[in-house]
Amino acid sequence: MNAMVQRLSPLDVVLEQQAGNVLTFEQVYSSSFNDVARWIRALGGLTADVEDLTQEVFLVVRRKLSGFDGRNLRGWLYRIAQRTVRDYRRRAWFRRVFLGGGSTPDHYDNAVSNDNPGELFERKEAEGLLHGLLGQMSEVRRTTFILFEIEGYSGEEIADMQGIPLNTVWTRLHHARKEFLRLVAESGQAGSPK
Amino acid sequence: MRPLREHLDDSDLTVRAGAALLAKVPPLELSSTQRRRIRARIDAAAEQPHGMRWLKPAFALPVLLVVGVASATVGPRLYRAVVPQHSYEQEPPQIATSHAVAPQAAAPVAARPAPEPASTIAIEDLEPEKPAQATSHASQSGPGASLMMEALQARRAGDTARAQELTAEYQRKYPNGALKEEAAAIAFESAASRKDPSATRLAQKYLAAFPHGRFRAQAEQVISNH
Repeated sequence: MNAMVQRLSPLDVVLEQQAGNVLTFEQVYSSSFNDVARWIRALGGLTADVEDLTQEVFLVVRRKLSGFDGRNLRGWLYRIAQRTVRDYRRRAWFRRVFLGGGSTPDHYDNAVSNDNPGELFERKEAEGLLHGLLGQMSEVRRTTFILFEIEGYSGEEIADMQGIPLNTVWTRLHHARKEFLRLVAESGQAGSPK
Repeated sequence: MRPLREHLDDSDLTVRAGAALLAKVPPLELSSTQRRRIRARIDAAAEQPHGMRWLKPAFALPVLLVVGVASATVGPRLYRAVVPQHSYEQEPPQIATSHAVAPQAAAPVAARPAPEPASTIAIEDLEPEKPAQATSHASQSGPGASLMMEALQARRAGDTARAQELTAEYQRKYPNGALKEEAAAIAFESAASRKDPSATRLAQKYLAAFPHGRFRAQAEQVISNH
C-alpha cells in the first residue's frame, strides 16, 4: 500500500531547485498529504482530528514555504507536524482538565474501508487493543514504532524526517519492539487464536 | 530489519500474536474526498484576512488582560495628574485624626465660641496647602507639622490661647518651617478673637513677613479694627 503513495524525495527537491523551479505549495501538498496525515496519527493525534490537524499543518506550510531552504523537505514537514500535534495535545489536555471534556476513545481506524462488516469489526477490535498497548509506551518509542511497524516507513526515512542518526532509529525500534512484545504477552494475546 | 507484521510464521508465539495484531491495522490512507475537502478549507482559511486572527480568543484574551492591567495601573495616576485638586476640594476638612490630642477635636459643637465676624480667618484657610496630605502624612509638611495640627485643633475647639501658644512654639522652634505663614496667621487671628492687644502687632508682623500672603486681607482688617 505504501508504494502507491507518491512521495517527494529530497533528490526531487534538489533537482527542482537546480532547474530553477521554486517548490510550489501545490507540489508539497499533493506529494506529502498522506505522509503528513500518517505522521499526525503516529505522533498521537486522534483519528477524528487528523483532518483538522492536517489542515493546520498545511496552513503553516503555505505561510512558511517561501522561507524554506529546500533541504530535507520531509524533515521540515515532520517538524511542523510535530509542533502542531504537540500544541493540539496541550489544548486537548487543557480542555480535559479545565473544561471537563472526556477523551474520546480513538483507534487506528482508517477513514475509508472497503472491508465487509465482519472484517471491519475484527479490525476494530485489533485497533482497540493495539491502541491500549501502544498507549503504555513512551512517546519517542511509540512514534518510531508506529512509523515503522504500522505506517511502513523505512529506518532511513524515519532518521531523515526525525533528524536523528539511523542507528538511533534502530535502537529505538529494538527497545520499542521488545516492550511491545512484553505488553502483548502480558495482555494474554499470545495464547489467543489468530 | 523486517517489520514485525511480516513475522506471522515466527516460531515464537508472542511474536506471531504481535505480528497478527499489527497486520490487522493498515497504514492511514485518507480518501480523495478528504484530500479535496482539506484543500478547500486551507484555501478558504488562507483567504481570510490576516487581521481576523486578533478575533481569536487565544489572541484576544491576553491582549484584553494586558490592556486591563495597564489601564488599572496607569488610569488612577493619570487622573490624579490631570485633576489633582478635585479630591481635596470635595473632601471635608479632616484634622489629624490620628493625633495624640484627637479627643479635643471631638469637643461638642456647643462648646465653640459664637459665630465669628466675616473678617476672621476660616480654619480651612489656615490649614496647609494640601490638607488631605497633611492630615495623613503630617511629616510631609516638614518638622513641627504636628505642632501646627495641634494648634489648629485648639483653635477649632475655641481654645485660642492654647492655639496662640502652640503657634508661638512652632515659630520659635522652626523659624523657617514650611508652615510659618500659617503659624503667623493663626497667631494674630487667635489674639484678635480674644481682643488681645498683641493682635495688631502680630498682624503687622505677618504683613511684614508676607506682604502678598494668603491672609493679607485678614491681617489688614485686624489692624484697622484695633
